[in-house]
Amino acid sequence: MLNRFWTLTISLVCMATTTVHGQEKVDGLSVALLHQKVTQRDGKEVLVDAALAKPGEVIEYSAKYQNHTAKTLRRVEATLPIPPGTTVMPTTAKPSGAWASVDGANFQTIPLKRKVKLSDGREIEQLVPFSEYRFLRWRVGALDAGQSAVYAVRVKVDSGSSDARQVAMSSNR
Amino acid sequence: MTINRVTTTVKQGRSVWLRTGALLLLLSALFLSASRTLAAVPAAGTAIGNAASATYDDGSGTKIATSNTVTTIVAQVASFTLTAAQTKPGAPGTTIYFPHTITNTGNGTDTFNLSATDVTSGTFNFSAIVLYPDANGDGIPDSLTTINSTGALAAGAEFKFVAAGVVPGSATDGQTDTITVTAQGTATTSPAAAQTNLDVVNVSGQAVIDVNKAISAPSGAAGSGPYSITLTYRNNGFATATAVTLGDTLPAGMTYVAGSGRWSVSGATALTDAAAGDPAGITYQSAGNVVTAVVASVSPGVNGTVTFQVNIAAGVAPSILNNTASYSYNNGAANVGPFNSNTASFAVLQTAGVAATDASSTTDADSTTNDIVLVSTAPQGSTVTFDNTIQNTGNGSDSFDITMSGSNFPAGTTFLLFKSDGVSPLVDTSGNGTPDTGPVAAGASYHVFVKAVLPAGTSGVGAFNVTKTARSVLDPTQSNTVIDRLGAITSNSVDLTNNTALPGAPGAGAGPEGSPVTTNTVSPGASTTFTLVVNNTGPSADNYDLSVVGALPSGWTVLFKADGGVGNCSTTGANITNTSSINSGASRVVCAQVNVPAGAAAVPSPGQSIVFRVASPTSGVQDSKLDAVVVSSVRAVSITPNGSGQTAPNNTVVYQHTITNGGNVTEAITFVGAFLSDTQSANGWSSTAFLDNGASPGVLDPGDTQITGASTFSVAPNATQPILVRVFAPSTAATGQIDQTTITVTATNVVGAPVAQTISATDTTTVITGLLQLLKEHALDANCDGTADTGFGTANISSGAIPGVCIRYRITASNAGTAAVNSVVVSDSTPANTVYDNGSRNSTGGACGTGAVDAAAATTVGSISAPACGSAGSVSAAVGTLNPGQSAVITFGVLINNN
Repeated sequence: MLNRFWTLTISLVCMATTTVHGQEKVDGLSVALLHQKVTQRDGKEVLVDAALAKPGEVIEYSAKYQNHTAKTLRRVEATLPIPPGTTVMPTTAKPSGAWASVDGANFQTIPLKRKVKLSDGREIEQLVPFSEYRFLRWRVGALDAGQSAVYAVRVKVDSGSSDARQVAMSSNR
Repeated sequence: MTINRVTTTVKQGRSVWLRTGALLLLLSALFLSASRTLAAVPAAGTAIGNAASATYDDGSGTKIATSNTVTTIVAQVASFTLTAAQTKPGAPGTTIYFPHTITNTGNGTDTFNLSATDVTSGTFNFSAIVLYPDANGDGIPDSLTTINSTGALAAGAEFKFVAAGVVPGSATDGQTDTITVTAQGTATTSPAAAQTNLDVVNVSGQAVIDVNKAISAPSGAAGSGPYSITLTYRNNGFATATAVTLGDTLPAGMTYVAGSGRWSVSGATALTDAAAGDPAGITYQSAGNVVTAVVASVSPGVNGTVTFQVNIAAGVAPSILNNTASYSYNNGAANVGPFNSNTASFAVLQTAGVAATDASSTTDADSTTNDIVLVSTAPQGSTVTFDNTIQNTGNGSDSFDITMSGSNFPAGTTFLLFKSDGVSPLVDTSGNGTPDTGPVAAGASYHVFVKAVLPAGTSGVGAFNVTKTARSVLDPTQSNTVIDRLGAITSNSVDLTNNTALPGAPGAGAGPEGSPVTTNTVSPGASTTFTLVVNNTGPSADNYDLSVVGALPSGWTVLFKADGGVGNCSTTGANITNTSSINSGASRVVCAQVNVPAGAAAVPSPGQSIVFRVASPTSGVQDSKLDAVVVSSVRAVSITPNGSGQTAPNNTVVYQHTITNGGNVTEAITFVGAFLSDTQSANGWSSTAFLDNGASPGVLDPGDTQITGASTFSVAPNATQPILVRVFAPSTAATGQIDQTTITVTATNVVGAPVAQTISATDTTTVITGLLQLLKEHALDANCDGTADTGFGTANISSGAIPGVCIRYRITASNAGTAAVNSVVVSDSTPANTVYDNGSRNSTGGACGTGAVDAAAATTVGSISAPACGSAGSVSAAVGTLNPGQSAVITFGVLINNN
């Protein structure tokens, strides 16, 4: 699964204003993503390879952020997308305190809420369904030289369960 | 798409009255609304890819880091639905058709095995039960080829078939039998469990009405039409059916075309949508989305059709619209029904459409929606972000591949694509290798971010354009473009000043300046520090390397240090070679320490030029500034030593002196006025000075140049000049007289404002008496006749002194003192390789006694003894007493040996 870019030149905003995409950076902050499937065996949780997953199964994404420089990196913010075809389980976010977004631009604390205008003109606040969460973000803060931090969350592969779908029924007489 | 059907089986034998508004059979036409909720099962084989990212600040601006991509492939889960179980009346000797639909609700392709068997508990047995295909879904077999499988059915797809049960002619009214229709999936991983529908036939001797429904086309786009819906009714029974009531509730998304109702009996006559006004024999009405037709009477064996038209509403999401008619009638004995017809399905096709625009872009500087995302300016070497809006104008969820093309950005610009959070890289979700937006619901928009990383060192007025293309994954013929435009790339700039930051600081403006901005003074062996201020006058943060332009004098070094915190280099920090990042409009103090080696030559005002330079390795901008260092003069010229000596009257003594320059400036030496003076000059003493530059250093030789008042020479730093002073004591000088000779040297610094210094040395000479002086002279006597060929002298005899010739010697002993000298004995001897000659040889190499003795050793005072002629030995004159001024002259000769 390769990402293709318009030019072949990769330099990094490096001082890094550019990033080497898809590789761990050696001279700045590196990000390594791990994914595993959460299975049950004898009542205990076992994490296995996640190359293949059925609808309804749970994938755990775990991103490790490491400071490879000799100085403290500040205002570190970690972002983990929730891929389409999966629904996040926000209570599994580790550590807690993640923010979420449906559009990648506006992030708020979990659970997300939005204002909905009813047909009679009233405006009420509704919870945004978890299935609409598309990004999680953690405020890591400062990361000292050589220090690393891990951020993880679990998602469920969508299985088309009825509560996830909006259904319109037409009635006959 | 997945369609669930919910049906309620009407219990055998019970007749149910059709009631307006009552719901016994629930028809559901389900479709996914065009909403943001997209939690449908991902298709088997879908690649779920993910990459994490982070933003951070390393002290020089915000950076982005992205991770590796991990991928999960979605496995297949198998499931299906089988509809619908039905109960129908059937006349003996007729075939009853039960339409069924099997829908693959799994997420991958599956093949379903079909079978139909007779339930043995019935009161009659079908004479035959077969399954037939019904691709057009009209409830009537397409062919008489029986089937036992659906074939491969894609996820979400439907397969329609008909179960046919032949009622034997011997069956009687009231009997009943049931067909069990079974379907089973065959997917390799966890195949879906079998499901059954029970189809029941109640044998009726009365009228038996069967209704089939058909749509003129199986599929079409949203907003298309009109399509014809045909309800075909047929009396397969033995009695006339009356009040045959057909009802059709159109699914949402199908809209009734007013006035389109037709009846086969009345042909082209339009049926009125209102209840009244229809041709005789039928009451037809349409209200909202419900069509109702009541045919007054249908005789056995008669069939007819009621048709009307529908349009597909615009904007209907891709889905299958299912439409089932219901019917009831009086079968001659009782009211029966309602029964369902087959379900006619119409697939609303997904049409793809995409608009790539600048609408609601968060990075667009121009306020018009013109399909151009404009960023007005960006600093050189920076990263420019463009936010493009990709809108799904199709009627169903779609993903859009994003590609960039047609760029005239400067060579070396890199383009990176990001998701709508602006930091997560855009990944490929469709498996075709091109990054895409991921699923976007119909009507929804997705923001794709492009970051253009500009190359360092390039600036200029653009406009720089790059075209972004969004292409539908579902239908690659659908694409749209938007232009990302950068107006201009501004250049960074830097200004190097002294002591204070801009504005108005010394050294402001591009350098190097015509004259030094700051001049520091330093002594040799010390250092001086310049307070440099690096001003970032450009629009973005930058960093600068520190250097000195050009070569400095040998031994000079420059060290750059961070300021210690006060801001004026009164304290300094670590050694640095780069300023590290300075924000736009900000400045930083850097201390330049210039070290001058000990012994460095003086450099007077305007001093040694030093050009300091700052240059950014990322943006390429630079500035330099001219400063200067004056190296102070250190003067240390001396003449040593003071001498002392003795001489006899009428005699000289020579003293050595050295002029040494221990300073760092060249000194011009002159001799001014009476630079050489004797304290006893009135008594006849005198002195002369010489440069000791002849062949024999340290002694007075003919090559030494006399020093006069016109003499001048230079002595460089660390150089020396030897001098000789010769002092003459007159013959009248009394014993013990002391004369002091002072030589005064004037030294003037060549570098800097000249200041003359005088240095002097003094020699002290004391007169002593009783000095006997001897002067030995010689002359050649080539033929040994006893007479010198030339006058006597002290110069070397450089030719003619060959074996066989004679040499005549004359020694003059003089009393140069002031008192008589007694018992004077003057001795000499024949030199090596010679023998005594008394002048009797008379020829070159002749023998002694050949002629008269006319050159015997003699003395003018006293007596003399000499060896025999031809022998070597000493010549000794007993001179006796010599009075002051009296001399004795001793002569003798030798022969140079010739054998």
